[in-house]
Amino acid sequence: MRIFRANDIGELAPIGIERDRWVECLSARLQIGDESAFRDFFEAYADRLFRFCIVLTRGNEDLSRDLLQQSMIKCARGMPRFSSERSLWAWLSKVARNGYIDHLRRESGRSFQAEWVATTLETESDDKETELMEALQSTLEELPSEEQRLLNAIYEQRLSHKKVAELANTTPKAVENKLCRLRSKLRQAIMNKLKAYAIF
Amino acid sequence: MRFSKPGKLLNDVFREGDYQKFREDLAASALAEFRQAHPKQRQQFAKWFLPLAAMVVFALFLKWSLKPDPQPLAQTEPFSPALPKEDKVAMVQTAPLRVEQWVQPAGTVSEVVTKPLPDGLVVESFSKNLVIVSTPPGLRVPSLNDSELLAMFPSQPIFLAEVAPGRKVFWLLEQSREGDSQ
Repeated sequence: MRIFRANDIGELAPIGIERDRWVECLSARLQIGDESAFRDFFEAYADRLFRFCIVLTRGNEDLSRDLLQQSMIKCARGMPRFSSERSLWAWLSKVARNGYIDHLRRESGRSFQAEWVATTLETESDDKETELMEALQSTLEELPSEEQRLLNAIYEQRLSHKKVAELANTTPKAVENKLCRLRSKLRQAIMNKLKAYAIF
Repeated sequence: MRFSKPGKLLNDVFREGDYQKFREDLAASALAEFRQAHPKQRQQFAKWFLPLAAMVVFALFLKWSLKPDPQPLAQTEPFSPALPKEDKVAMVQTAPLRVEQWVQPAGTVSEVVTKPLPDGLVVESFSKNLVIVSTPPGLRVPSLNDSELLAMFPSQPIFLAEVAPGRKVFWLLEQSREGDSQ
């Protein structure tokens, strides 16, 4: 029996059994060509890997999508067997990082600068979520107070769109549209922050 | 403003726009690649698993079909009519068979009986010049008693003595002859 819940990152993560054990089982199922295992794997890691690529490429969304695609296709063709979540994620992030390094070398013709970035990237941490969280946090603090309150009601107090609409004396549809615009704004702001630190 | 769990917001932020469509397309193409990359493994799985399953089923069938029918328990007359049928504990009582119920073995065993020979047939031999005459029992043989024996030698010194029960020694001294008689 598989039990999933949305974790704090919003991914589907197993509960009831240890994550490492889940990864071990998933890995074994992937080895024998179990399609449902690949779907589970994709659901669990695609979004996380995409965010990793966003940080890696410093907000280059198109390149991030390319890297995600390359990585997932590589995984589909075959991946080693893993006994822990940590080893699986280390391998996945390395695949994406190597894809990015290859891209840099292709684009920059093996320049000294590209090689330096490649060397730096190889020693970087696999954890890009922290950097992304910090960018989100600083962006949130720059928002007008009305938008902050809306986000707080939905994501912190976990109120429904209908309840928020009642409190704001508006319709749920209007709340939803406003949220959508707000998320796009946040996304753009985060991308801009990441791009500000980009070398290329 | 600081969220205690900003993960959900972060995830929603990066799922905005056409990302969802891209994600679905990618999932489909990756799954197709996965199918293409793993047919061999699936075939291998089928190659081993299906014959193995068939063998197990066949073995179970064989075991079931070759299993001997359970022998019906011999119905025996209860020895005690007072034994209640509802008893769940089987009670066995034994009773000695009557003589007519004894089972005699088939005549394959031959009984060997030895009987002692009659006294007249026992022959003892000695390293002497004796003539042993065997006579059938019941045949009357002319014999002498002690007095008649002694009367046969009136002019010669003779001696007759019983040396053992039923055994007498007769001595004829003049001719130095010696003989045994019973």
